[in-house]
Amino acid sequence: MNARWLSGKVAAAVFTLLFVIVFNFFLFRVMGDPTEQLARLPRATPEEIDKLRGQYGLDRPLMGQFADYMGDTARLDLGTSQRSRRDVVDEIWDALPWTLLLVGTGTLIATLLGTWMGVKAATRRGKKTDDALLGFNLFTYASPEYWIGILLILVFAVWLPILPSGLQVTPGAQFNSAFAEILDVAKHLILPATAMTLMLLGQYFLIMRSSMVDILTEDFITVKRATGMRWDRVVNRHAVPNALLPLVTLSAIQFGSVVAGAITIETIFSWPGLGELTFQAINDKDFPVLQGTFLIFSFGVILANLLADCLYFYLDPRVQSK
Amino acid sequence: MRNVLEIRDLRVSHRGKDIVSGIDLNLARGESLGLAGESGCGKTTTALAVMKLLPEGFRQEGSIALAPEGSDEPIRIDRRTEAGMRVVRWRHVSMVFQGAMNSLDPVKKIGFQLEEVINLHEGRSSGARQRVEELLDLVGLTAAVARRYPHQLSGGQKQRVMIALALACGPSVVIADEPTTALDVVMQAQVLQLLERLREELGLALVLISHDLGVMAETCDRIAIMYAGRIVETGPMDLVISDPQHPYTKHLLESLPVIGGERGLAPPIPGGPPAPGDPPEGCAFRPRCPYSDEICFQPPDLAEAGPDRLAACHFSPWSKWPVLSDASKGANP
Repeated sequence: MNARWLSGKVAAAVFTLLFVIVFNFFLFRVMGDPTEQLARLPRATPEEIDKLRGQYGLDRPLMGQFADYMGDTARLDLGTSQRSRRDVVDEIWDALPWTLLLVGTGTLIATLLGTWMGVKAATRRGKKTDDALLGFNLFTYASPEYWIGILLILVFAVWLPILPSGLQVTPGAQFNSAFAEILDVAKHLILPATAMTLMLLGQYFLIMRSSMVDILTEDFITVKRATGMRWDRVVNRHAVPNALLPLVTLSAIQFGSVVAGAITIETIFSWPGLGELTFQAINDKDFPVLQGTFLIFSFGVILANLLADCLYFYLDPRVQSK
Repeated sequence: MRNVLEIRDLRVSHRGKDIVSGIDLNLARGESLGLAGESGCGKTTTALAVMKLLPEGFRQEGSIALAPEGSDEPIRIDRRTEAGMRVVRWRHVSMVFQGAMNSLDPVKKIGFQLEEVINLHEGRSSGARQRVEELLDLVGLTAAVARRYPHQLSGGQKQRVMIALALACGPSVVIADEPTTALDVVMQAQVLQLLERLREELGLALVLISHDLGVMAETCDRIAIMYAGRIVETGPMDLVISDPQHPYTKHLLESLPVIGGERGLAPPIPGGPPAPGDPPEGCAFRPRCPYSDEICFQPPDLAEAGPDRLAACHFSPWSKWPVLSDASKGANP
């Protein structure tokens, strides 16, 4: 890979992240005085509020606060949660693996399944398979994720009680082996991961289908067929690699909505990830935690875009020579 | 079978309308045949019918027989299934397509795309790489081109790659469908010379499809002129050019600019060709023909019009074209 190209992309990503960090600071100042929320004790006296202000450094000039904030962020000190009194970094660090597990599983299955269905539908365009796949995917695409989540709980945890309705492990369970624990987590993962998959599936399918339909009308597809190549080889070796290109870009852009979906789905399934942490922090007006999760989500989106650029570079030789 | 390709009464229809309405064509071994006519007259449709590559919704009828070198029995393309066609395509008849710009997979290297086709027909062997180099050399490209992607090549280079691809499996017949339309004039001449040289060297039979009679006059032995899904005139190139036997051919020839001739625009053929599948009653050229008469409401047969020549005009053979006054020149109602 071209080192100059890569360093340019990384520099752009770092710059974007810096912007987000700065923006995050002012965003929370605009949202109001945090001490109003801190001093929730009834009848807090103005003296007590002033004392709190002093404790948090909120009586200092804005630019001084900003300098502190930038310094702390650089040292990865994101403050203390007002709810749990723990470091925000620790809170995020605990929640991150769960979110990665859920989002990773959901995205992986949705990408593979959506792409595969998109190829099938495009090669059978206008036929019954296409109609059925299009109908199914438009339905899941149009359904809100909270509705899908509740429906899944209703069917698989209430009517047919075969799967747990929430949490990541059975509470209070003792496991004899690591394998038993993994199995228990997997069982808890099925429903939220299904909800995640169904939420993302539609867009991957629709993008892949339309991209494939476009590519299949290209001249080179006719040429490949004319050379006596089997149709499935024409599709898999020549049409699919070309049709994947827009999918890579679009899925990176769509990563923001994955984050939004994670907040809803984790809340519904009481999944102890970043989404639920964010939701709790919103409820508690826990600004330091919110600031921290905003930062980590932004970091995720920026990283996803950087990875998509790198993947695109690898997949499309036309980018490499520019 | 004496000819390498024989087409009898080929009809192609789409939604009940005839795009190609019963054409006969012969292609002798090592011969080059020009297939000329305006856009929409059925040239490309005929080519795709030979390859059995017509898009869905098209119906083809009539016999297409291919007799490659050394085969006892001609291959009846019309009777082959899709699976049966896969071993005929490229092995025996290949094609150079119209759009040189988009005829290669943009994300695969040239070498891979050539090797893939060779391996497909000749089985996996170590010889494929060697063969790619030979093919590239044959069309005047360096071996380094194999390591390039399509976007790194110029239009002329891409069309040379397409020619190399067409020759990859040593076919008996190559159909070149407007191989030079996307190229500039200098490239056009080079690509045509290359095709002509390769045809002679490799003993191929070539069908050159074009709307440009000037291009064909340089390369082809014989010519067939198509109009509204039919062949209206066919014969040896030099005879057809010097003494056309169908008014349409005459008009096509007159519309060519003459180098060193008078300045100005070449005279256009009045009117436009009929929509594909919807020709007028009788002779399809009648509404545009300055010589048309009552009899032209009857469809003319493709009849003998001189030695080794056929023309579909009631008045052929024309011994002398009548001189038209300016007033009567132009489309008849």
